[in-house]
Amino acid sequence: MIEDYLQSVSTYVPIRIGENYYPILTYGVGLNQIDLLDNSAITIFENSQFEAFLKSTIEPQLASLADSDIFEYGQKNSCTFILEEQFKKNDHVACAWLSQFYSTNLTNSKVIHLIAHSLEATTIQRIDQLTRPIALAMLSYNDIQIKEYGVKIIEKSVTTENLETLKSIATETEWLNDYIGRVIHDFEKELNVCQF
Amino acid sequence: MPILIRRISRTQWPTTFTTQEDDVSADAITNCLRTYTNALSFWEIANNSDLIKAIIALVSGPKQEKFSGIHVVSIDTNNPLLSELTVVPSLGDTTIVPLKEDHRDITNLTYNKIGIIKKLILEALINNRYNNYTKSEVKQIVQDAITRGVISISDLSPKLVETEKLK
Repeated sequence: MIEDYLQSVSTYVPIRIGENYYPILTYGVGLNQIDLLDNSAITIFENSQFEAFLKSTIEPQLASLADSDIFEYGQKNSCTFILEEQFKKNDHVACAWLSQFYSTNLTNSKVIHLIAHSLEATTIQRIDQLTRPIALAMLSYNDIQIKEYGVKIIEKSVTTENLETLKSIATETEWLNDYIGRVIHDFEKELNVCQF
Repeated sequence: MPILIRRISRTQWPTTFTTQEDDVSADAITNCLRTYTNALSFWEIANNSDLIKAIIALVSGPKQEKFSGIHVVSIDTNNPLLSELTVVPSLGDTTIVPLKEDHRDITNLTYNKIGIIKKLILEALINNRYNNYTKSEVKQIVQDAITRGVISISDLSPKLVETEKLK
């Protein structure tokens, strides 16, 4: 779908390099001539177009999937594949959009579950890195399922930072406390942290 | 006595309970016990020491691209409640061929029979017939099985091997 969109807004524009002009494929740019040393106009235009696409096309898709997608821990569902595609196209815009989409749906548990599942299931490390603030926000939920997703997303990356995060999680749910304790143990073992 | 193993989403079951008659959330039934053609999937093991075989089977589906923490309950096949249900062998959804035949389906499920499975799961939770494994523990189980030659790395999906850096 994103390919169709990009194709629909793509065009060849002449770019001047020295004395010569070369046709370069660009997306959605209505300019006649682009200075190779100043491509900020292209970037801004592409980003805003991509963000508009995410809002107008991807958001409704995700909203409809919230009712029907399959949620198997560790397995990608339709939403995971859709989000991964968007991050592959432009990870910073996708991340900014996802953060906004997440925050505007804070009280919509179906959408939050959908995002949580996708962030847990993705195998793209770049998504883990960029969406860490979303995972941290999930840890403060009262909904134990979202909190568990937050733990599992943090559990994916064994880092000192994540170890400290795990140690700071507060929950009264016994089985989840036990689980977090064992993940902390795994992290300490892997990071060679002294245990007293 | 053989044991049936079922993966559960622990969050959807009560945190405190006293008997198998306790009520559970609708999500526990409609999500965690989601049926296909009126059947639910289980893995059968000979005894508790074989539990890791079931864990390996559960995390080696063809769509599995990464490991994740896992929660399972164990149900003894001599549990009287099981006599009201139909347990049949069926090929499991694992890429490890020798494990495929350890799969069982509980078939011909109805509204009342799903209620029996709910009781079996609550009973397992009450009696501590419940285990969970962190992502790291799951990886260790699979890696140990590869190292000991119990399973071959080529039995696993290439994407899973790549993501988890199995060797």
